[in-house]
Amino acid sequence: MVEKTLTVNDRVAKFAGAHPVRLFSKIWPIFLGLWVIGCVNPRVPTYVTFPEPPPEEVRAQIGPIALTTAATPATTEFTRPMGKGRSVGHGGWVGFWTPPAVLASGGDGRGLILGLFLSPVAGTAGAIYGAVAGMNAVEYEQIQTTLCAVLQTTDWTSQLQVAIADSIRQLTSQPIVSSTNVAQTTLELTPLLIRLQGAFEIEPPLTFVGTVRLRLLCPMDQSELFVTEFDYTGSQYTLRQWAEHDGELFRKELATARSYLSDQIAERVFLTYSLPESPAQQRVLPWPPKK
Amino acid sequence: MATQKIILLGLLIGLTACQTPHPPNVKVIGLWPDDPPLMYKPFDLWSGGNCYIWPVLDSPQPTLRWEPFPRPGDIAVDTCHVLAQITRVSYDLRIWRNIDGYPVELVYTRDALPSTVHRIERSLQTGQAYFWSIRARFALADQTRVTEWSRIELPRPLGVPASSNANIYPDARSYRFSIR
Repeated sequence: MVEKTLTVNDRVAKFAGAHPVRLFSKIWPIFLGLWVIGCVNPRVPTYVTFPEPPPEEVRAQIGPIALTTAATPATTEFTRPMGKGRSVGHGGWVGFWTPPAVLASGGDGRGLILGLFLSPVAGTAGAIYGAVAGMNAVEYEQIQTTLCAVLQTTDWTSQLQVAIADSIRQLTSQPIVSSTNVAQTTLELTPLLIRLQGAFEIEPPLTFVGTVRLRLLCPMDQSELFVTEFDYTGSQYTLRQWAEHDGELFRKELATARSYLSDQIAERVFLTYSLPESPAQQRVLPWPPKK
Repeated sequence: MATQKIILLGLLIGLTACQTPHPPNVKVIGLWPDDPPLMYKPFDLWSGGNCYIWPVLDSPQPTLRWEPFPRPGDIAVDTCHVLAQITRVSYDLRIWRNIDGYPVELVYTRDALPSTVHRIERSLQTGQAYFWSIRARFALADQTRVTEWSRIELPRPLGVPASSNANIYPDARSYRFSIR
């Protein structure tokens, strides 16, 4: 029995170069890959995507405004990670094929054979990871309930309306009135979608995306002067991380989204002057540049 | 016959390579940066190129300059004479730290700067790349208005995904510089 074990070790050592350091030098990409996949939450940019500002003809019609919110709540979409059973299969499959794929990528035939030796271990590790990290239906529903509760308790729509009013007061000279009866224009806000989106994986990082529709209306006949949508794209965490501590990260992200969106809505609708296309935008840059 | 074709092809390639590259036509949205300037290296066979050369500055408190607003080119196309009515022109400045090619962290903000030149009032971190953008702030019919945040429109800087055609804030197409 001992003799057999030694023989296997000898064969592995022969392929790897007969030294632990050299063996590690060949398999470190696997550890690096697992570390990158498992541990790192890349810092992703937070940004708002917005449309063209209202035309000047529309802007000329905007008088004192009243802010309202649509009665319909935002649709929520949380990407569901792989279930436990599927995660076991997927983790095992990826784990099994990763060592030969990585070690053979240098074009070394010995790397492929060594990789195939490591495959059962890596495959088992992948399957165990899948069994632990996979999310069953009950856990997914619990997380969904937690996140929806955060949305309700923070009353995101009303808070966004207050934040927009504050941003308009601070950043612009646009007058705001409290009642639609005395307003010349109504700014109607509809949160359309709150989404945690990502790939269908074992435990994928999910990006926060919030979409808000904005309409400028004439209160007399409810005719539409301007309609547009703003998207906020924010942080990235796994679904479990989003829901930890009663959705603390989700609550913080909602506050950040509110701040970004309110400032951009105020600036875009009431402040930005769209310059007409002009020759001043284009230049032929000399090369090498003049001192 | 084949040898003649090869010689001809070689001559053609040689002539193309020796040709002075055409200076590129760069288009921006908003105001142009004067200092550090925008530099675009056209492609040539020997040294490559076809990309922006981002300036490396020595001072951690660099001085930034940009063109004044309104520009003669804007006034020329302003058929309604709106720009003739504007008053109280000033400038807003934003600087973000570059993380993986994106303006992730807003590190410097100034609003209503009175002139087209500004020395950064506190030291920026050395060995870092930064994005910067400016816009004009002015009064039109007693209302405060601003231009778009300045950014590169064409050619698109390398590494900025083609999908980001939309208006984005903050934008990876903002101007850039690094501190040595």
